[in-house]
Amino acid sequence: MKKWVPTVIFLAVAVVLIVLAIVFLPVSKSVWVWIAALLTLAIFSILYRDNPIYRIAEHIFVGLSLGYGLAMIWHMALWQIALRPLFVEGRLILIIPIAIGLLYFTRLIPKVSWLVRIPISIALGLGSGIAIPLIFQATIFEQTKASLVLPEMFAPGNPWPGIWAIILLIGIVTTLAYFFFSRKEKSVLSPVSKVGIIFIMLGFGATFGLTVMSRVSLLIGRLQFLLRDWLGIIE
Amino acid sequence: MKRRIPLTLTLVLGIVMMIQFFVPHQFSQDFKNTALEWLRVIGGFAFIIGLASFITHHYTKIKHKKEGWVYSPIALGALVVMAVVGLIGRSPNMNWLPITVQGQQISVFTYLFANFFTHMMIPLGATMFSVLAFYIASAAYRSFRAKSLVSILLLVAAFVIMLAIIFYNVLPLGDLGEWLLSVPNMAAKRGILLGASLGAIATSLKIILGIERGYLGGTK
Amino acid sequence: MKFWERLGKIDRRIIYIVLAVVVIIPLILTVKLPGKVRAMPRTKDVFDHIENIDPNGKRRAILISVDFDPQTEPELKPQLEAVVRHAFARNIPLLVMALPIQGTDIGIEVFTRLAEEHNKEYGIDYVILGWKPSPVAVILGMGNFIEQVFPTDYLGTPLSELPVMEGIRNYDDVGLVMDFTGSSFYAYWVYYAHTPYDVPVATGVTSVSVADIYPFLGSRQFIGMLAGMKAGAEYERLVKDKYYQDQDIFLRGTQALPALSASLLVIILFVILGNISHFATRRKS
Repeated sequence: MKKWVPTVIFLAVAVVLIVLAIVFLPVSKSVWVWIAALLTLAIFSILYRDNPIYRIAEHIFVGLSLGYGLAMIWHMALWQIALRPLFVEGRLILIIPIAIGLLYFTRLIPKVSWLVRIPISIALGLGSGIAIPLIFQATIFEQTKASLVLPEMFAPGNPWPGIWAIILLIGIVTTLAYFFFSRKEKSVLSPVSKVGIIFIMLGFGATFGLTVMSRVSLLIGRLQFLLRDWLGIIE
Repeated sequence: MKRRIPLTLTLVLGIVMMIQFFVPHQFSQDFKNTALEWLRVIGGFAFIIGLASFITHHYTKIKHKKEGWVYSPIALGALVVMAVVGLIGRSPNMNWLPITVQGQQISVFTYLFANFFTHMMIPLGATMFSVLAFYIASAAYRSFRAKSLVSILLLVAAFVIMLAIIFYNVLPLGDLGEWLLSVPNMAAKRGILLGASLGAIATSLKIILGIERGYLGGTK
Repeated sequence: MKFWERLGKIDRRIIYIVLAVVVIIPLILTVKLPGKVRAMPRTKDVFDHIENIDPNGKRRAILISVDFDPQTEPELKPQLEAVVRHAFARNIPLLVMALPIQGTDIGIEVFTRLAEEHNKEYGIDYVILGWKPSPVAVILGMGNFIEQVFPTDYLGTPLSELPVMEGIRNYDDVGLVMDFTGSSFYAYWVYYAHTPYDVPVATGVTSVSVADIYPFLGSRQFIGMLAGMKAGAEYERLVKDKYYQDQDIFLRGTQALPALSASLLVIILFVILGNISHFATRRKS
């Protein structure tokens, strides 16, 4: 059987189904909804196998995303906070950061392309210097504080918050022990690390279950669009 | 020289900003606010690297007729159309080529830009990720095996969470799921968060001090 | 034994078809789940916090950050719409921004539609600030002066000309930062908004990130969290039951819940089948 035969059969069936849908169902009259629906089906076609329709849709998406980014960066970044304040409001000091930003373009000129390191290093230096104290406070400091087991947690009639806090602390310490103290040479993990693995696996199991829910939710959302906005089958 | 200047900039700016955090004086705050403003302005130009890479990649593909080159003009075409429509359509007070939509006059460029986003970019992007649902179902079926204590724990935790979501209105299961997330899961994730944060802080310090130089690129 | 072996080797395309059918049928039959939709405690925390914001007081605005792109839109849009309807019902001024570029137009689409539904006016009840580069610089800068980060709205209108911005200078005037994200932007808001400026932050996330956020919930760095589509459905119900009982509003998340439950059950069954096959064939060898 020639390679294109399954694709042609598939397209023929699709056309027939679409004609039937138009005749019997309250389908959307908006050309934009139809474009959206056809692009959705084009992407779903990858489930059967890689095909030209999917590749076309994928390339359209990549091109549109970059074009969108370009337009928005011009309006909301380059114009609104750089060029307009400089040329319309006369804030001459902005010449300095604009000049530094223009150095990004030297990436395209091989002879001076090392200059692109200047804006990168400025952004990294400022960013790292700002981030370190704040991340330290928000994670190391606050998270350690929240892990403390305090006497108030053991209220007379309800000791459970305190008990869970102790288990939490054991879990945190053993998890850290697993990551920091597991050695490759030792084939046997210390008992502390073994307890850590129990907590880690429970945590990853929970993440897996939630990931399944997340992906399925995305699918349901798309099918809601096809069934409701496009075909009008559901309210 | 070509490496010294960037490394020095990173070192000086990094240390200055770390010290600034602890100085409440008005000069220090003004310095910080100016630095943040300049960061935003500089950041607006960073896209050029990504854009140049993209155009070069597809241009080379077309030029040398590499595998899949027929699709590259589509990507480049979509880029140009969306950029032009957006650059014109989102300009303030834009009314070139007005059309009437739901009783209102708007520029055709504005109309097209909004619809390209809502009816092309959103469906394409959302569907690409929704395909993962099928893949995760297939992968779970094929490889999720209870072969050892570790994988049994993983499986049990995943099942408890999924069943807790399904039967949330049935009291015990929902509360069990909540407990699983609030005690063992939180313990593990907090441990991981602490470890990862220490790692991130260490890496940032290494960047500032010039020990980590990957961002300079490979060449001299 | 060939049966047990084949049980573990079902063609993936059959799995795809079964999953699709199991999702489509509850949607078409508009199955309703038995019993009331019970809200998770974290969802209720967000709802209660917004209930306690005084629209005429000092910390009266909600800053909504649409930090997701089209890829995760199906899971986060129901949450966003529900929270916006809640704020509209309470006449709380809304400032809308985005950290990833594409969040801007997602926000524009949602707000244009909902504002028309609820008779809210742009510039008076809400403003779309848009996007600016360097997320860290944006979040930190707003702690000092929002107009320095966003001198104009997304179209170029100066903020000083918009009535909704009157009296709103920085985080001191914000009652809640509500961040909706499918990636790790929630961490940015904790590190760079809550930590230095002590502004209350809550987040709506895709289910993938839920387990990772619990440390921040435990330390009260987040006042609450909306966990995926399920929380979106719960929030929709909370808002509808309190403010929109007689109105016909499309509850996107609520409609999806039966399909969600059915598909999770089917996936659990597939995993069990795979394991049965594995143990049955292993015993044979």
